[in-house]
Amino acid sequence: MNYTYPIEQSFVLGPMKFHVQVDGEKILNGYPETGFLHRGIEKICENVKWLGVIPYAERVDYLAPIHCSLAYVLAVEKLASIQVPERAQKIRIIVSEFNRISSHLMALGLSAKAIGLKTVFIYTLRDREKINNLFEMLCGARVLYTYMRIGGVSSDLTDGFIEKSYEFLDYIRGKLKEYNDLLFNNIIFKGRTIGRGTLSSSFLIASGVSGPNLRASGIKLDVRRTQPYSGYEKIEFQIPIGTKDAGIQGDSFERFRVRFLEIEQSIAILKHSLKSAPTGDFLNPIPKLFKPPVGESVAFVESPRGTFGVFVKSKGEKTPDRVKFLTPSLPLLNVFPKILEKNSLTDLPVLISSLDISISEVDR
Amino acid sequence: MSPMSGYISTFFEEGLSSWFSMPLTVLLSWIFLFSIPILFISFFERKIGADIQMRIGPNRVGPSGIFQMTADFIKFFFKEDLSGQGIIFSILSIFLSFLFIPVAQDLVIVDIETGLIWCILGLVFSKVLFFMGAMNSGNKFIQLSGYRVLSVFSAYFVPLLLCLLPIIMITGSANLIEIVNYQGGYPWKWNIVSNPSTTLFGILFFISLLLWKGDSPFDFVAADSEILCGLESNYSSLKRFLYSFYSSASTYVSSALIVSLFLGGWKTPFDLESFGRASRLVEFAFFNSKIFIFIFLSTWIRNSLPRMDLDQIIGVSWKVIVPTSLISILFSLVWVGFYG
Repeated sequence: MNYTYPIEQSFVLGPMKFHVQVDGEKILNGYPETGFLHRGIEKICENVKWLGVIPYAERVDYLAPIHCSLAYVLAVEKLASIQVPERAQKIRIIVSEFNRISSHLMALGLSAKAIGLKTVFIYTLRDREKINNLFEMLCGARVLYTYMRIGGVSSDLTDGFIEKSYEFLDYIRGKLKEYNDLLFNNIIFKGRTIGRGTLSSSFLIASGVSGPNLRASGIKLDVRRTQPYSGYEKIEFQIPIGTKDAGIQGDSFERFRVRFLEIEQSIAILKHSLKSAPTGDFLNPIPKLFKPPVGESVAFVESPRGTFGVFVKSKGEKTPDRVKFLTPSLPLLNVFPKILEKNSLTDLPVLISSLDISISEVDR
Repeated sequence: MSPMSGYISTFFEEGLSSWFSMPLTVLLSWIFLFSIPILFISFFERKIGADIQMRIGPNRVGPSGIFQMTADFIKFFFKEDLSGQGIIFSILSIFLSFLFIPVAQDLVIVDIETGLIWCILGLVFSKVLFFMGAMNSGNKFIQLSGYRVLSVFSAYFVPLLLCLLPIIMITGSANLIEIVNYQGGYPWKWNIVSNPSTTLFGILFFISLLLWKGDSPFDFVAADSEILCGLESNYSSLKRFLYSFYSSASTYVSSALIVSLFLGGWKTPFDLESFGRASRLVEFAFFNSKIFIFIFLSTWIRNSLPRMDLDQIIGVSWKVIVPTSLISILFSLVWVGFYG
């Protein structure tokens, strides 16, 4: 029998359809249908000025706007060889790690919602709200920030931001213990995720998957280490990968756990960066009529969902000739049939939410 | 004449004629003993759930939102009726179970020797009616939910009956009035501490009732993320209100049953002679306050555990509850043989 899940699902952020063919409750095959959130961002970017691309780039993934705009800004800076002040680089690290925590909290909440525990979803949204407050303090916006600029960031750290950040980090560390008890130490949660939806690392690499999903299968690939940007090379942090301690490497439990451990690593990075933010300029101003030289450049960042890349091409005019986004969520659609096969309909929401797909990134 | 009709007729100077007393008894019990407590229970469930999730919950209609359910009723009443059949029969089936439960001293609507068995049958039958309604809906997801109703049926029916056996064994009766009268007002005279195995049976019976209710962590039947709420989406307008009424009614009646069997029912620790006819009201209040413990417990569990899948549910039932209760029944037999 064929089942079609309607466009809006509680465990995926954004419109997306699933078609599954089942025998009883056992899934024979399944595939996704996307394209409901297509906005033509890449084409729009060709018609706006270089600086005006930033708000559009943020809307590629509205759960990680900082990372999207950072990748674009890095590509343009590389193209026009603009120097970024030390302080601006540090601020970029701070905001991108805050954004990573915020995105992972949302992923954790949605996975809890998929497994029938709405309480954790509401708790994580409450914590995410505190990050939104911090961003509001910094740049006045709560969800889509437009904080990045070519050559730095739009404004300096405001008074009291560092104190509030420390307060939040202490707070979230206590809350993580609570989520650990509610989810990862729970026997029902373990029983429903360990050994389900196992993906081998070779299959994931062949599909082009990156980020926490790949790291859960045991591959230590992180752009912050392999191609450091914004001074990540000076910061010490660990890259959590999936282990066989709990069960099987690369199952949905490991994917949830790797994201959870990444929050802890982000806290460590933030504590280090907040302590050692150097004084100086936050922006290296660019001319009002900004025209980068003819050429192409590519930049990669580690977004919460994986390797996020931007390709820009300039013909020396005031608008870009081409802006192309490489998004980590798109290859996850290849994984769909594989992850659903031989599993029950009961597991469908848990397996899909374990991938942490952002639909806005897939469609753009 | 049933004990409840007898009590109601004491309010009339000339008594009640028998043809009039039965419908009046059922009507008054439906309104005052069944509907109004259930509306309050669904309000409390929402309020406690909101507290656990650190929300505020309903707080607009009436003082601290206490008339929220009445407002819901009025709203749903004026909505367009699109789908759903048979929900009223499920509620009547739950009401059937309620007829046999004493709410105050010797105050029960139907007084028969096999009351407990009828009570369980009413509980189980209400779920079978859901299966029929689901099959009739013509929606794939709701039909799947209907099949889930039947598959969970195999998980709770045997445990429910097994957990009753030791109580019948100790009290020597399946009449709920006699079961409550066997216990005393103080906690150490309740059935739950009668012997070590009854304590275990109290817990197992509570879990089996959660299984029957399809409450979290066993809310496999109406899972929102997997089958789009299943049964719940079958009903629209007033029937949707009746569905939530049904789920609160199932909480109420199952808690009333477990209170009567294990926690001394309406029994109060002190003497109520001086209250006269109003002593029944005090007993009813005691009965409801014990029910409230279970409402709090089930709401707490609902908001802190993830959902189980079918394998885990059947596992809990057939690998944990059934073997444990079989061994405990043997233990209980020996205990009753030695200590009476």
